Amino acid sequence: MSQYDVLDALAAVNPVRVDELDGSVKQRGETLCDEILRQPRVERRQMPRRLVLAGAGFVAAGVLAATVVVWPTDAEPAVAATPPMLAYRPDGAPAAEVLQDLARRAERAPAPAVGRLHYVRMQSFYLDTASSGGDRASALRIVREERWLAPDGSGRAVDTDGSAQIVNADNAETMSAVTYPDGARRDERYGPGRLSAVADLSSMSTDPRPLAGQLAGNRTSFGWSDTAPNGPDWYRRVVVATGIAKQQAVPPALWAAMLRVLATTPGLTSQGTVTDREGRRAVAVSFDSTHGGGRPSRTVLLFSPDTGAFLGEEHILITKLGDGPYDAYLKTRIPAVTTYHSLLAAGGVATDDERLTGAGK
Amino acid sequence: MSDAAGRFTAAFQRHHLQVYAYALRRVDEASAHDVVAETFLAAWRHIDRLPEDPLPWLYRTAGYCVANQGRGSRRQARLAGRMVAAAEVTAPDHADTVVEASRLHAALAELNAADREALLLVAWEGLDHRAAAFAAGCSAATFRVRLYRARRRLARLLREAPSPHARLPLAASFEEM
Repeated sequence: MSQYDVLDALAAVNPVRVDELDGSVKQRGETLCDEILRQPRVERRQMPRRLVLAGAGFVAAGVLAATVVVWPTDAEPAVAATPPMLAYRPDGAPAAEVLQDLARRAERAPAPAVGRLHYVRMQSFYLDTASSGGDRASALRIVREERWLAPDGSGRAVDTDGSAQIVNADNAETMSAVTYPDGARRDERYGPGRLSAVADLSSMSTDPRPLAGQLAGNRTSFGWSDTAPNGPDWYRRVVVATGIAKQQAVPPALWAAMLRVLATTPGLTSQGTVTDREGRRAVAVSFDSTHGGGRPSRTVLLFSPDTGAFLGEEHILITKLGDGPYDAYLKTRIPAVTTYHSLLAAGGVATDDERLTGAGK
Repeated sequence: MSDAAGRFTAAFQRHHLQVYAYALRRVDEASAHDVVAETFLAAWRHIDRLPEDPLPWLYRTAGYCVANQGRGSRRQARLAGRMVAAAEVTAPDHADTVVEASRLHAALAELNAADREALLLVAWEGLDHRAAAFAAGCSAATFRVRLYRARRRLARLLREAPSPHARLPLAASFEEM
């Protein structure tokens, strides 16, 4: 039995289906709801901020048992070494103008390849964590991710590990939770709806004003994002637009409209030009938020200066915990890159073994 | 009605049956009602911290409540019975499907609790990876690892199952849930 069949087989023996529950459960629920509303609530108190990062995958980082330095760095051996920061070259241009200019370029960009399946290839960095009781483990992992996504949400996912290092592990159980069991390559096929939700691009407006409403109103998690599309409207617009761009090739007119919507993001800052992790020229804009949950982080969006194409994103922890030189919780230098995605190819293909070549959209 | 009461009522009406179904898949009927009551009471007490999409939070809380319920073998037997019954109702080929459900359940019971829950959050609760990760209390990246491993292990167990009738001791294997 294949992995694809396992999930479907389990779904077929789901012992309780919501639409088959009888009316008495509903009736009992109404009574229960009234009873609960009569109970006292816990008043809001100033709580210590929960130590979870947007998109970073940090659940916890406990006692540093052992550290392996993955990246070329001058950090001490006891410090978790996250990817080096990119070297941005500020040019003083307002972020909104930068995105408006990119939108004009995107309109003139060639349309992506068309095919039955959406194909994307990304190079990503993750910090994976797991906790069990009080024990924790975390690992730094670079992964080459490929996805073939069909309109019904089925498809194929191939992940190839570039480097993966355990940063700390309190015990074998938590370590196994952040360690793949068998080798550096995973190749899985998923049934309908199981690989990802698919955005219906044809229903999206190329007029930025209605598009902004469509993006903000969409609560679907696209692009294998760790970040829920919650928070204020502007944040959901960014998460949904970039999430779609990470899994589907967006037609030029629609992508141009998305860039114009992104240009309205409050607090958006231009970071200038940069050479990204794949050696490509890019322009970068950023915003800071806590809406992914937890400590303040910076999201940097990277675009091709020639075509406006989305090249990727980086999530950076920007505040340090504790008085020491390193973050007391993560044992790393701050600012620290905690996740990045570099989009290498996106477009339509006919079959799930066809690949697009070239480093660009 | 206050804002808090309005938010709670909306969340309750939208998700009450889903939380009940989640609980009933894991405990007996009486306990499932207790789990629902405890879960939504926690949601009301902490309504200020309830996420905008509360379902993963509710599943996570319900998971804690399930863990706190009695761990007798009776509810596990009921779960096994329900799985087989579901197969009986939905399958065109009665005997084959009952056998297959039995094999599936036996293999499922052999997984560790975290791997099993990862599979069920996706297959039964229908959550995407992000929501399932929150419900499971781990990062989405970690959840992907866990789900990948669980799928592989379950598939291997099903391939290796010597006999469809060789059921595993359910009470012991579900004890860690």
